[in-house]
Amino acid sequence: MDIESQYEYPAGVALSKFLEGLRNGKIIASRCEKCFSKHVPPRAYCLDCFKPINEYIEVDPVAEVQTYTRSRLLAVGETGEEIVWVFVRFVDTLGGLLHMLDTATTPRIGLKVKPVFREKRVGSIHDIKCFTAAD
Amino acid sequence: MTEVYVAGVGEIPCKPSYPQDFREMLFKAFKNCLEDSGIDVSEIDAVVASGLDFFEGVSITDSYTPDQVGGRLKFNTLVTNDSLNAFIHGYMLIKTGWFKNVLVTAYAKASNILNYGEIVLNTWDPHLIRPLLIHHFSMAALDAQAFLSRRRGEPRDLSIVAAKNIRNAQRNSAAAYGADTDIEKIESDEFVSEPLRRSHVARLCDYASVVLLSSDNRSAKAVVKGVGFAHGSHSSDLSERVFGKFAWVRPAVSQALPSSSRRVVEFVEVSEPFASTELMVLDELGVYDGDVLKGVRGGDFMFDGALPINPSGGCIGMGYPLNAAGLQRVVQAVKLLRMGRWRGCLVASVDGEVVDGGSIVVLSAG
Ligand SMILES: [Zn+2]
Repeated sequence: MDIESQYEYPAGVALSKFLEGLRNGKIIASRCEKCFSKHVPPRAYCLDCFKPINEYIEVDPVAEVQTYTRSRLLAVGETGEEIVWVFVRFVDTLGGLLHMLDTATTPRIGLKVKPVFREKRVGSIHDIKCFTAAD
Repeated sequence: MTEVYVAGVGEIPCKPSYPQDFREMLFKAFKNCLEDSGIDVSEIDAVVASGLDFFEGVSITDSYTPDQVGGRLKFNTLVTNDSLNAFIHGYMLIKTGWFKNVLVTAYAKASNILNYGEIVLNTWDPHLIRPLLIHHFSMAALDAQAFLSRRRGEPRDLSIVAAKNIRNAQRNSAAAYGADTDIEKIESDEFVSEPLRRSHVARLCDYASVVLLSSDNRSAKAVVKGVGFAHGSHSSDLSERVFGKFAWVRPAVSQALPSSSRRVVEFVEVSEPFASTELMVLDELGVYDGDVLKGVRGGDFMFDGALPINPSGGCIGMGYPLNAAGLQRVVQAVKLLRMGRWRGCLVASVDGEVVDGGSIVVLSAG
């Protein structure tokens, strides 16, 4: 028996700023007015100060690979080609993003990377096609 | 202060699948537990069940647990988490002084789940992670890679862990996947997500277990010496995650066991959905004097080693029964303590396959 469970999740205030940024080809961070820490993806509150956050700023799109893996498996089954997964943290920010690395780049921890944006963008994580070496 | 004893344990062996439904499976485990404890159904005051609706494919799972374990018209509660957390809830109920005999139950009917990868995908943020369709093996591999890099480990260290557990499981009649394997055989396995090879991943199984906790030491099989639980550094979008490190372990172990008493731990049972999980938990536990990776390579964690880890075969050797993994470990720990070879042990279990959170329980022989 199949039951389809259908949900619609509002992204919330802070994540909406981020998704809007992606649509414009930009990486948006939140900034705490008390401790000045920047967070990607943006947060509506500071996890250290527990202060509400109202400031959202564009940051340098260069990020550093924190860890990586290669696999042909997806949650929905096997893919034909190998995918390189990376978790990256943008320079001078807290937090990080999971995404793919272009297959021409050899992954390593510490590698500097930047996002490759798609031409047609809709405000989704898929507006980033993948990450690639920054230089 | 009330002491809490394990008065009895019951299980049915792990298998890739059972023809029985979960009620029938739990009933058998319950009967085995009753026989082990020697108490009558009428003496049970409360039932704490571990269950996750998403895994069962049934809403309000807890409403369907009490019947087959003698819980009708009694206090009943569900812990939507790993079953070691449910065990801690049972322990706390007895500590209140209001309950004398509390049953803790858990089961897995993994063979019912046709799209497990998608179920686990639901763990993560619907905007940032789910659309990427990442497989949970890859999520665990990100952790494993970061751990090995930070601790200067080798992918081969994961094969040593997996070979140990699969071999240990040969001694355990409740294990589904015990075999006479070796490190080289495992090293020749394909990668499912680098650095994780096929045999570094615990295979799913069907399983049921029931543990009776009591304030009465009349039929004590083990004594609960301490419990701890902590949430680590985790968020559903992963942005708070410190890959390669379990932040939950230190706060949990410091609740369960004062650092001066760590010598009482003579073996460890830890749920390891992946070989890397075992090493990551052990690395933060503080119960082994020395470098964990050197210990792995030197054989210190083997069945006959200085500090056996998963002498039962763990989840890699027995089968991974989803949220029942924690109670599976408790039952194995009690069985091992009753062999008379060891006096005390530590049981650890993660909240899920790729979550930075978990529970710790310290047991001593009854
Ligand atoms: Zn702040």
